[in-house]
Amino acid sequence: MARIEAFPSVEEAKRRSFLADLFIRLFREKPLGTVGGIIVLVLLLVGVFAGLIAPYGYNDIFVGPRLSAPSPEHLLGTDQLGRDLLSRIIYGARISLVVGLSVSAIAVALSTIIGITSGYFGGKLDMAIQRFVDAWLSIPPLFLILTLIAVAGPGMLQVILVLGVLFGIGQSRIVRGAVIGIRANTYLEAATAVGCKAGRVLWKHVLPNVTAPIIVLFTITMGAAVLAEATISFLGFGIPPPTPSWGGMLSESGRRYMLMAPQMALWPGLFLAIVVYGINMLGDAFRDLLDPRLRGGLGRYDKVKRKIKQCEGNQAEEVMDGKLSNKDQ
Amino acid sequence: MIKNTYATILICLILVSLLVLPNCTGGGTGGGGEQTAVVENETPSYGGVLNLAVVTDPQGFDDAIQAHYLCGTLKLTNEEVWEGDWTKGQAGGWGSGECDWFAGGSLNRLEHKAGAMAESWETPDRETIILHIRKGIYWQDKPPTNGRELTADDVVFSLNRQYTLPTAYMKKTYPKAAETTQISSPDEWTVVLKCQPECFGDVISMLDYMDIYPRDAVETFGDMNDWENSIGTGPFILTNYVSGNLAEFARNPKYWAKNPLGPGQDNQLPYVDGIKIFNMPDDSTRTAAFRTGNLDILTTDWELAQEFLQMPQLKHVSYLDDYGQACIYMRTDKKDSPLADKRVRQALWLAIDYNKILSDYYGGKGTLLKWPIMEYREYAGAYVPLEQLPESVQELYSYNPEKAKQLLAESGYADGFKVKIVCYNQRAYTDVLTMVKAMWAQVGVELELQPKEYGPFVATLARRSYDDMFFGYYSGVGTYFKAINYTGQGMYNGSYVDDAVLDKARDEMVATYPDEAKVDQLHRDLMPYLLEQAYVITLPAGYQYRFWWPWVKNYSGEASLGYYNTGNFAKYVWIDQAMKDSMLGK
Repeated sequence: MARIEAFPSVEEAKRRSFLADLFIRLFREKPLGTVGGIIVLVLLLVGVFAGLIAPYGYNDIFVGPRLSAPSPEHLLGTDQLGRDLLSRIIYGARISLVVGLSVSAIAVALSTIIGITSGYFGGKLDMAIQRFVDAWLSIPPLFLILTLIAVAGPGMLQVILVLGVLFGIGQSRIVRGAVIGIRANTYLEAATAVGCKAGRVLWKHVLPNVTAPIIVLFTITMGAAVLAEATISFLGFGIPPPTPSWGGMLSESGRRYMLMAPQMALWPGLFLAIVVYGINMLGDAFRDLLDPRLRGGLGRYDKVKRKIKQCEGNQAEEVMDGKLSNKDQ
Repeated sequence: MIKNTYATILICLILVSLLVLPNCTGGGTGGGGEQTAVVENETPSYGGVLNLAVVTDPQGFDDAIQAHYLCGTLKLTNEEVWEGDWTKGQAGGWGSGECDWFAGGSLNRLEHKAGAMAESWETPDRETIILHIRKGIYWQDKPPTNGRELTADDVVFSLNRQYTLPTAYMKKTYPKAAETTQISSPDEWTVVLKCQPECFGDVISMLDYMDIYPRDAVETFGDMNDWENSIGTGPFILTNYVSGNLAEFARNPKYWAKNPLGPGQDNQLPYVDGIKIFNMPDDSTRTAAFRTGNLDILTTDWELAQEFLQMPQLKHVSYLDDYGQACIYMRTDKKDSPLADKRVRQALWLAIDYNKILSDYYGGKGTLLKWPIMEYREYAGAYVPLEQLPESVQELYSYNPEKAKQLLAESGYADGFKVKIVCYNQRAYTDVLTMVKAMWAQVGVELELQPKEYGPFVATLARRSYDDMFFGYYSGVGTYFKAINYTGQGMYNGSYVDDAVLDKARDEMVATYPDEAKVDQLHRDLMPYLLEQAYVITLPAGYQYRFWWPWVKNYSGEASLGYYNTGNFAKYVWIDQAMKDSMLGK
């Protein structure tokens, strides 16, 4: 009886698209993930519409007194050049958004190409690629970042490229692992048997089956990229002034004025923490929702489990009532 | 259950906001301090350790290998031929007060020199300098010198190293003087320098730069760039050095100098048992260390000074310093560049609100006119105050964006243009340029900042290798008579100025030196023309502040006696240890 009750939910889920199903389940089953999603959505909106939302330009100097506390005119106060901190935080969100998305896109593309190639073809190619990745991973990331930025010079494009490549090569291991996991599956053998070329097999059969880890990778990378950009800017190697970046705002000015105007370090730090937290929660939720080992059947592991528990409860009641044994018998 | 989770998250957010908002208080920006001038009547006592801080490590310990300004410990362990005269400064209230000695080191007037290794000297003509070396100066008691006496041979040997080694600042910066000057010692206590008349000023200046080393030690070690080989005749001995952390010094028991005046007249120097110089690049760390009495002296800017100005127990001075000051250099040599046009340069100047920067960013304390020389009272004769300059020049310091637009239109740039500027990636530099960027945007000029690390920044400065603009240092006032900020091919002519009027004026000043009064007048006459050309866009300079605890005695805020001798005041300072212990609750 319990199984019969569980099936309609699964059938209902099948009728929805993958993404719609994912987001509905996110909202229903993952509250922290939903909060993360809302944070990311707000970041997206703020970043895209920064020019409309921000009360001042990010480099409008002396629009208020220097280092002033939050006030109705300047909700988060002003910095050492009398610039509105709220406006700079809002424009800083755009930087975080651009850096986060771009780095994730580059990293995911790179890790997918490297991971799929290495994992699917295996052999000497896999060995050569993996030794390169080993060597790459053996270099401390911050050292690598600072060296590359020192050579390329500070700038948003340089930061994006350096971080994208850095994350991409490192994370290719995850994609490779996923590919190796499905390589022995019969549907790949079947595709090869009917004459599909390697490119088609990779595109039509391998890639769709490793989409879930790639999506998770994207969100995780986004949070890490925002944080990495903040670190680089904090060290003075990131986005050149006066373009506002949260890490840059936290950096020398934030530290210098920590006692005189704590808001200068507080707000960018707080928003950075919230956004990275949100992205990580969203990524974590996606991982749970998309992980085939956790979902069971068609992604209703939790729900099915609950149903089973519920049925077991009913069964217990029935046993207690002495009905179950009669029916089963 | 889910509703409860959302509610919990919401409550957490509200709590965080409640915790955060009350902490957002505004910073104080007002206030200002008076200079302290106290006559020290107490009898000096020996002992104690003087604790100081620097923001970078020394890059070397031999100024023939590294530039003198990168060898920060040398001015305590070694000595030059001559240095700034302590008695012409405040000297604990007992000096003549002709000099302040507050600035980072560019004060280089001959009339303010006192003998160090040279007890006296003669300049019979503009080609000859005769140094009479002081007797009774001894090297440290360690091999290979083993405490022997300094002789003229050590001086000749050391100066020759500076004139011949390719790494030496003298050789690199003044190649002509280095190649043509002859140094000899006719006897054990006399050194004679023969130079070409046009190099006379270079040779004079460098004698206050170059430290003297023992010949036998240099021959033994190859050079003196390893701190453990440090051997000098200075008031202190370098006993320990930890890169990125600190340098420790002990009193040199065989130091020759005595206190020249005040209650401690004829006392053997130095007074303190030792010095610790901590490497503290971070402002917050440095100020915290001073606040807690772990540093005895602190130099800072007006903004961080506000906290200490509220502490009446501290003493302080405020002063202007050309050390580390930067100007906007432009490629005036590129004929196709808008910056080759004087009207464009003047327009850029007019588009900067100098008074706004001074009042809002520097708290109203500073000067608008810092280039070609800083407003120092020691060089008052060479400096024309802004209000005495012609109206055409004064106008450049007024904010007039409309006229700026008009000048841009007249020169064919009515729609503005884009320029890039290379600068050092530190807040002090980028903040100022950020303000300039915003102001130039009002007249259609788009400025792109290209901050660089210190290494590439200094390399750009040295090679003048930039495309449009460069925000870099200028040479301090000590070399004003050589006009290196706006003539010649040196690094400080950052704007590639090639102007016959200025070249002629430089030749006149060099020919007139060392008659400093006449050179001053020539420089005064030149300033209006020079500023009107707008070859270099100068920006306001704010006051620096130096604080010290009252237990630091016989001290009035000095930083460098003479030409870039940072720290050499320390031998005159004594510590009231009882007061220190009492104030720190020990």
